[in-house]
Amino acid sequence: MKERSLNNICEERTFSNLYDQYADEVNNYLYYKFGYQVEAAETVQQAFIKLWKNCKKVDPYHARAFLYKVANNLSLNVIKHEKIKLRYAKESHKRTATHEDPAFEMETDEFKDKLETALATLKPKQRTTFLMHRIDGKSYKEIAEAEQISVKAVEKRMHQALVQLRETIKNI
Amino acid sequence: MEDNYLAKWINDEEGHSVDDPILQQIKEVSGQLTTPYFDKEKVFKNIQQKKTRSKRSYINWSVAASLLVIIGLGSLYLLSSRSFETNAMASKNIQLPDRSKVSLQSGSQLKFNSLSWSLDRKVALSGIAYFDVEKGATFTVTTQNGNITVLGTAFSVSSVQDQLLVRCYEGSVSVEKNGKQSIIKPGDRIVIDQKNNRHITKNLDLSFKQSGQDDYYIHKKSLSKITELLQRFYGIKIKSKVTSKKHYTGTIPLYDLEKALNIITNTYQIDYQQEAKNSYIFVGNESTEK
Repeated sequence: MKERSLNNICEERTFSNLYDQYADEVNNYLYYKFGYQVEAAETVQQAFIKLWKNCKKVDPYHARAFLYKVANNLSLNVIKHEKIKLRYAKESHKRTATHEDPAFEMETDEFKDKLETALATLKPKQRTTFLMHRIDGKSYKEIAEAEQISVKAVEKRMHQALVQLRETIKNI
Repeated sequence: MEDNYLAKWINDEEGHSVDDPILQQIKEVSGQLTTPYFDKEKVFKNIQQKKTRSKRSYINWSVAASLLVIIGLGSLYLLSSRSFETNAMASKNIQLPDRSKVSLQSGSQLKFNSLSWSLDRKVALSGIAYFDVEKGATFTVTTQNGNITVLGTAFSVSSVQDQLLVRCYEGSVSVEKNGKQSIIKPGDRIVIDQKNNRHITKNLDLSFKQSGQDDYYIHKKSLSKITELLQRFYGIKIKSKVTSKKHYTGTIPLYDLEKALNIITNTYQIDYQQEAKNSYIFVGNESTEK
């Protein structure tokens, strides 16, 4: 109890530590949902402001769960208001693999494009689970906590995502 | 196939392998992907701004609201504050909101607040005034030398220099100073001097009560104090070449300068001369003989 009260989110340092720790993953989570970075960053901003406003109520140990919950709710609003445009193919940062031979690089790039197109066909929750695991390296347990579902449900999403991706890529 | 087999395979769980080249490529390439640039610093700055803004505006609103209330009530209170003053040799008849009457005598000041009047019948007096108070809640006269409370009666108060004098004409009057209370009845007079001594005189003549020509009762005052009183009541300047340690007790008229000067000079066995229109000088008897 003592430690908790010392690490109050209302304290500037605690708050900025939490931001450092969770801003990226929350941003990515939202990006996977929206497929649109500007929207994601704005929602990250709103989520952290909401955290600040509730700094007295939220325990720092529950800050991550709180942020995901808020981000989720905010993303629901976004979805309701406008149709999410998926722009992985255009916006995705091209990570050029160095020391690879050009032909392989081209092939990889080509496949990346296919993958991005296929990702856009996934249901947002499947895509989110897939990318949280692949890009952020989150464990199924961490994804389950963020999405407030069971690990088994996460695995199901992942499995379905892979089946769907394979199917789409095969037909491109 | 086991439930969610692919999920276990892509999670590198033991005993799960896949031969499909597309799935293998998906696993490999997706591991190389990254998200678009996220300007973490900029978003944090935005958050900080919004944080302080929301905090500031929160304070501003509460402060502004309370300030407005305070200023509003304060100015209403101040605007409702009524003040009356009389010059030397002048008196004023004032009617209070409850139709109580005040006759404010020479060189005096009376203040009251018409807003709080209905809750608290209270006037502040410096100088001399005759009150004829309508019946009702407690009526209070505050002075520097003590407070007078009545329910409804006729009385006069003079709070001049450090002396408080209260005369009661009707009903009863309570006089309070330093937590000590005295009650006087019609015909009584109380004087509280600077040493907080109380002198009550009973059964005085009440016939002059509404003349407005009330004499001022002086209780054991030195010549210099009396000189100050005369200057205040008559708006004149008095120089004195005489000093006396004798104390005078008696009355001086408030609206007859010549009579007042005669009473004082006769008592102290001195003379006065007029130097200019509103300027007098007290001189000893010897100097006039020379």
